[in-house]
Amino acid sequence: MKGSGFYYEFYNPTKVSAGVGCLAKAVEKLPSLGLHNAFFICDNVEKSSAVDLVREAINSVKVKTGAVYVNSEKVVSMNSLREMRDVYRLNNCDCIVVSGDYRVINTAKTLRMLLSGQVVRFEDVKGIDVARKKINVPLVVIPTSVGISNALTTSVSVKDDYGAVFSCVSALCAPDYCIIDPALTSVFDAPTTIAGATESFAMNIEEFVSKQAIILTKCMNLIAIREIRDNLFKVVNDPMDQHAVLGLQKAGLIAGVCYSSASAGIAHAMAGALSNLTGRDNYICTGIVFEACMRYNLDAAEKDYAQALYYIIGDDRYASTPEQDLGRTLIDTSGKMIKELFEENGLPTKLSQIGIDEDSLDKVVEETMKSYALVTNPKNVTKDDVYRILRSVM
Amino acid sequence: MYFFARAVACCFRYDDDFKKYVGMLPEKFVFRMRVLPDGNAMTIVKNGEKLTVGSGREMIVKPDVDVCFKNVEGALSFFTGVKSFSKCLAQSAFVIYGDVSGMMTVSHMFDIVASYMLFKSWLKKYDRALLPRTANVHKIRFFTLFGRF
Repeated sequence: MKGSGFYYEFYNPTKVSAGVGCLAKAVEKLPSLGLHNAFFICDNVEKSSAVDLVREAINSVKVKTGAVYVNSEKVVSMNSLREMRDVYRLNNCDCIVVSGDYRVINTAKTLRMLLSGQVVRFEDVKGIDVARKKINVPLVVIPTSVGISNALTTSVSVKDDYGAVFSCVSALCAPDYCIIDPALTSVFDAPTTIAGATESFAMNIEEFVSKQAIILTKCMNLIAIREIRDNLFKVVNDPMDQHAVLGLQKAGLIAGVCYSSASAGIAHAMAGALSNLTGRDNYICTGIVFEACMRYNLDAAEKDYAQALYYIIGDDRYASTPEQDLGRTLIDTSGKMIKELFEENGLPTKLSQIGIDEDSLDKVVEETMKSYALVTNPKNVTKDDVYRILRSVM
Repeated sequence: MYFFARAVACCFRYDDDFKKYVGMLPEKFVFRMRVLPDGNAMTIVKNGEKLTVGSGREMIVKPDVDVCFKNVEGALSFFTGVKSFSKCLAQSAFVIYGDVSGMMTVSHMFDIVASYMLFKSWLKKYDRALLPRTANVHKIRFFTLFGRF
């Protein structure tokens, strides 16, 4: 290991097929990858026509769906995992195909880690880089929402038998193949799409200013921020604009790819804690606290914020903004944009609206301080800082 | 590692912030840090109001958090104050078995230890941007070197 400035790790084993209407073409490659009998995991089947589309496409290339499992838990529980493992083995499945939003993708990644590590008890793989691959269980991810940043990350959350949520970081979580077709997102409503895009934006900004950001991830994050700028309002105006949806999905994908190297920051640590306590989507919680977290990090990440601003406001406005105000302008611009979009679409913008009051702050702070995402935040975070940020968005 | 373990015990005696973080850990929490494949080790055990620091040779069935440095170089950079615990974690210098959230609490505790042990000029170069601590600093440094545990 060389000096701290010269060492980094970047890992991404996933093959990605993305494009408007690419599903039919992409699934043709599944048999050549040796997949014949798929264990199919999806979210709410009754509502989602996207899931039917995916199943039809898979079956059309002679890949059987040996077993179908419906799971809509926000954080997968150990009981569900054991059940899924038994069903997978009973039906002699040879791969996992998952279609749905971030919840089921998290479930599938966890199951894949369990199966390919031949783990008897999940406690044996709790931790960071602990699980080892023993057998090959290919995982194919087909997201059906805009916020797909967790599709390619190497971390998962699991709920143990006592209801406590713990996270695992392992290369085994990364899927082998990811198919992104914006046609599958048409069933989702505008608030879900906007919250997902906001989460991708927040994640890209946090990765860009992260302590562990490297030149490779920084370049990708800037491109992703530009994609969001170009496509977010197109999708707001016309949710059926598939090219714009694909742009947002690409940004989410980049955020996921960079996460394994750059990790995130305080906004995601807080959003995770808030989401676990309130049961609301991680995306919405990120949108609520993101501006306050950026303000908190301003003195440590001002230069990076200034650099990212160029990709948000464009040449003319960037040139006319005084140099000392660049960082602050990014926070004001993005904060205003998120707030307006959330208000227009009936999403909460204050913690009080998601059921957090002064009494529950202690619990949120304690959970936030335990988050792995704090490691790479540009500033050292103390408990008092977290209290201050939370009170500012009450 | 020997002196680091002594510094942890000293901070628990004299620093209130450190005690608060220890309070966040579950009862009978066992933390072990070792260098792979069979290098030195240290253990921290929370036992009621006490924090026991050991040499890693104790009979422990399974620690709650087991931090294993992949090589001596990584361990050396942490114990000599070149890199913080978080930086080592971010750079995958070690494998962690067990509860990640418990490990994060320990990481905050180690930051406090570093803020006592490192000199001001060194802290400026440190990757965690820690503020130097003034209260009890001489006492903690003295007892780390010469105290009885």
